Amino acid sequence: MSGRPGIAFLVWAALLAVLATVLWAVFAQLDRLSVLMPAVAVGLTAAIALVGWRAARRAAARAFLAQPDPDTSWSAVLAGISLVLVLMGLEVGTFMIFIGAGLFVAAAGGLVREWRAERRAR
Amino acid sequence: MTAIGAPRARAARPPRRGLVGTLASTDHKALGAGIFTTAFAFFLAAGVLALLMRFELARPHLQLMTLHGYNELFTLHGSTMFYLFATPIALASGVYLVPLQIGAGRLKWARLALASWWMIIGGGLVMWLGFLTVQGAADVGWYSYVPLSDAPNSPSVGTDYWIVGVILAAAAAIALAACVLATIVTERAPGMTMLRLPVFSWTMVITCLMVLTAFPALIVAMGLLLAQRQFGGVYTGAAGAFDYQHLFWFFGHPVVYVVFFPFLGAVAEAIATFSGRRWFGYRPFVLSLLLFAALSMSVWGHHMFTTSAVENKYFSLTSTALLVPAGIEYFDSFATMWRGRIRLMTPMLFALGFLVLFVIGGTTGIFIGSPPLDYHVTDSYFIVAHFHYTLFGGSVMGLFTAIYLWWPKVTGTLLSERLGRWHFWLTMVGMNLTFFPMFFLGWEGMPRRVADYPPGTSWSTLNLLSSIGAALIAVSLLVFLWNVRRSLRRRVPAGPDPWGGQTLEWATDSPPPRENFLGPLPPVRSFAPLQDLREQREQEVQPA
Repeated sequence: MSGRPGIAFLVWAALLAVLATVLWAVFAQLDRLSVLMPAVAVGLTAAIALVGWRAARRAAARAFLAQPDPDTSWSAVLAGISLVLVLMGLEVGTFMIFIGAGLFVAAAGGLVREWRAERRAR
Repeated sequence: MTAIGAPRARAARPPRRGLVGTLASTDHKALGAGIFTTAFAFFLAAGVLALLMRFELARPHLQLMTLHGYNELFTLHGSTMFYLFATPIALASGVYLVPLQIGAGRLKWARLALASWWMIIGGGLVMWLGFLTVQGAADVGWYSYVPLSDAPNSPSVGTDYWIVGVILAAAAAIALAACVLATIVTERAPGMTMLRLPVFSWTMVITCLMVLTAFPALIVAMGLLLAQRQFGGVYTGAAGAFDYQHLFWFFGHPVVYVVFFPFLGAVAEAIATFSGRRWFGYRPFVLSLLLFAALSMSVWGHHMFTTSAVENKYFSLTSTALLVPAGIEYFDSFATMWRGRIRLMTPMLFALGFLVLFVIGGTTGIFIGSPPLDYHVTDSYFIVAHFHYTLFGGSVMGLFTAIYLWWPKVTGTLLSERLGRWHFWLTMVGMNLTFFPMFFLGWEGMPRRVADYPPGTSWSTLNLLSSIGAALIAVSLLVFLWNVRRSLRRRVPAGPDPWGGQTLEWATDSPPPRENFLGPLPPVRSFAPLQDLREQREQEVQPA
């Protein structure tokens, strides 16, 4: 497992798969598998993704540098608040969904600007 | 040593950002501290609700509130504790500590974590907003079973607000878990392989895996519940009720471990540090964590033994099998302390308290993992006692272990040992006085979630004892808050490593600078790199 985070995910998915198999083979609980199997799928997908990504990490490790992020991000704050407003709008009324959605678009624009500025700075 | 008459040295303050800068900071330390403080504020608020309930139950008959009001209190108490306190504070610990422990300079996707913090604040406010509505806050319990929680049976707007709040908190938890896991996967320092991750960071890996796989089920359950309340036709009949329970408990059981594992990690770090030995059996421990988490994802049906809608044998088997990884962890704890140079300071006291109390919570969990015994005590105070021993005895004692252990690192100052000991003993006595009588209450048949009970039974005395215990816990928290205030005002400097820590966070200043590490990192050759250096130095100074 040393240096390979994908294996942690794989072990996790395998353990869940064993438990799901017991549920299916010994207790014949097919409908319960519909709840447990997505968890197995998430673990497997993450493991496969990480195996593919590992090569890129090697290159990144060679150029390791502790990089702090910029200090503040008001766009991220706005994104969080706008999601709260959108969900509250489900109960309070459509007007709040629109306000939240509008703010979210503004927040997304701000986040894109921040990312571009950050890339330029590097 | 400070000379007589000389001014006492004061710890350096963390860099000042001002309130505005703190609220939008992407520095994982400010972010972690912010989420932690928010969650702790929710803990205190939910604690006030618990106190009100205990005052009501101290004597038979209704004294302080209506039946409906009591229902609102236990709903918001449980919901706040799970969704707004325990899960966020567990993840906040990871947000703050994981980058430091793995030698990283930042948290991956910090903006996502920042947005999540605001979603937690918003979700909490929306949930509590129900108290201001005409029909009051949600009154359907923290798991809001269908059909009790559908529109005809619970028409209050407060319940809708509650659902929205839960969705927001769950989505925020998923996002935070993704950030912490991505940090561990991508930002580890050179030499920090997965099997050199500190114990606490490994518990965070497991926690995040569980959040990512279990919490989406909660969002689905709540989204469909909202649709059921607005349009109907989603959870219909008995099958619909069972479907809801499956979805909910697929989240509802793992969440207990989500709020347990990080503090198990903190306890492990404290035991190793205050025993002067590295953690015993690291690799079996990691494997047992994975097994523990996988099993805990497969036991949700034991919450439904009495419904006859699940395969009791399977869920009883998996629930009982949890003893195996739990046993490994206890064995590792005692083996680490064995022949160690044990220092009984406050973090170690809380860690030992955790071990003692969680045994009671864990073994009673095995007890009710047996369907015949569960039939007898289901929905009784026995269950309340059991899960408070796991959640308060486990998570909260572990949380205070973490606070006392890492407070010097986070603030650069020391907490008072004397007040810490007072806090510990008051908590131990108060916690046991509150929750142990509940085992007897449940065994004698007192159902949970009742505001009133008949006078002239043994229930009166047991309930009175329990309420006195709750008041003691409140006093213990006041002692803790006083300790925090005193520490922040006096600012006795802690230095970079006041305890003789073993992991990388103790290799940097207290509080850590913006970049986390200003100089080169110590070489990482194991999960305890500072312990390696210490042992190397000891070998060098020993005469040949």
